[in-house]
Amino acid sequence: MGMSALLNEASALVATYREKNKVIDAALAAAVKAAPELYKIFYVDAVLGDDATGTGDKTKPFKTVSKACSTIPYGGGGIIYLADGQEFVLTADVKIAKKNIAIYPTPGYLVKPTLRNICLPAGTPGFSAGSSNMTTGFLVEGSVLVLRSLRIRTADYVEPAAPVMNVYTGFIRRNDNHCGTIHADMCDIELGDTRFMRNTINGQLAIVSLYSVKVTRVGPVVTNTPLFELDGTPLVLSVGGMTLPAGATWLNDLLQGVRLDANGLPRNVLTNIIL
Amino acid sequence: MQLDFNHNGLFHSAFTLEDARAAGVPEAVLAAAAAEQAKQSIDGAASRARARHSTMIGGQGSMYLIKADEAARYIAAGSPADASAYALLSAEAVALQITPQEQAARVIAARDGWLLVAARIEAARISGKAALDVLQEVDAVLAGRDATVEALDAI
Repeated sequence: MGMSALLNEASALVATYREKNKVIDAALAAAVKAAPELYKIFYVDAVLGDDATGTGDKTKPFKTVSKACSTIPYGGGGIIYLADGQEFVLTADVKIAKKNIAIYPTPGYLVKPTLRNICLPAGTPGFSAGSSNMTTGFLVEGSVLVLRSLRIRTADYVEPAAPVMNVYTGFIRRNDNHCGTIHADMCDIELGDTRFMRNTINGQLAIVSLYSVKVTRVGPVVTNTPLFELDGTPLVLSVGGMTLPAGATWLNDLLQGVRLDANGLPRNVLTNIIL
Repeated sequence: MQLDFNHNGLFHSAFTLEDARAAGVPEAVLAAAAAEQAKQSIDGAASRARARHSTMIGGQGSMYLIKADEAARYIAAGSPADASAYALLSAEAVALQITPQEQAARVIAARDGWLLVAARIEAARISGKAALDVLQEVDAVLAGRDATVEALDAI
């Protein structure tokens, strides 16, 4: 092959490379553009918001916390701002899997927004047959959930006289998987008939921190509702500046299901408080 | 330092001094809460002091008592050459290759020495804890705790 032919061959090769490079660059740019943005900021307004037409933007807020949580992408995170003083009811379970979510009042708020879960009557699909008062709540799986400056009201029994109570109650529950990390600060937790957190069975570890949280018991049926129900499941619990009901104690009262060894030492709770 | 205390009809748990003072909790309430914790620190220091002077394993406390009682009975009986009626004493004498008389004297000496140390520990522990009850300020409680713990650590 002569020199001229070699040059032609080389030029063709370079041209082919450049063309392929353009295709690859374009494909890469398209892929990056198509990837979801993992960090989100959403606004939720129970009165003015709309889950169907809202975008979660400040001017087009969602209506429910559930919609905001589900819109945060798997593996992502963000902040959900709740409208000043409004009540947000969890009418169904809110599953948070592999997400990092913080729920705050909208900046400049005057009254803490209320997050409330509810009990559901027997016969609700998904219930154990014959049991009643399963609650809705956050089902947390390998996630971080931060609650700040909120009023949290746990559910009252919807069927107080039911012969069999469903065990799946809790404003926060683990979702048959590693639970994750829960943090609440400057919140008022009002315990109705059902507990704040239930993390039981199968040994899933939960890490919970509470700071400057006020807990009250408001019943109306259960007047000694625990904050946590563990049934021996491991919990790492860090608390500071807690204001609790008069006469309350941590062990076997606010914190139930603690497993003690022969020396009376807790084996499933690692905590900074003296139980 | 985090404190547990009752105030205004509510139970406050794991409050830092800064937060509690900022919330307007009276100093005397905090001092009482701090005293409860300080007493545990003093008990812990007493326990450490005892451990430095005796073997702290399960059942060893009662073993010391039995040994001392047996040695005292042996001496009171005139320190007989045949010590087979004193099971621990004779077994230890054989183990240590000394006479039962020598072993009995060692046990009684150890008991007397331990009593002196135990009395110093108990005096420091009891007086240190009692002194905390009358203090009205957290800083004074902490100073009292530190002084007692230091005294116990020196025994």
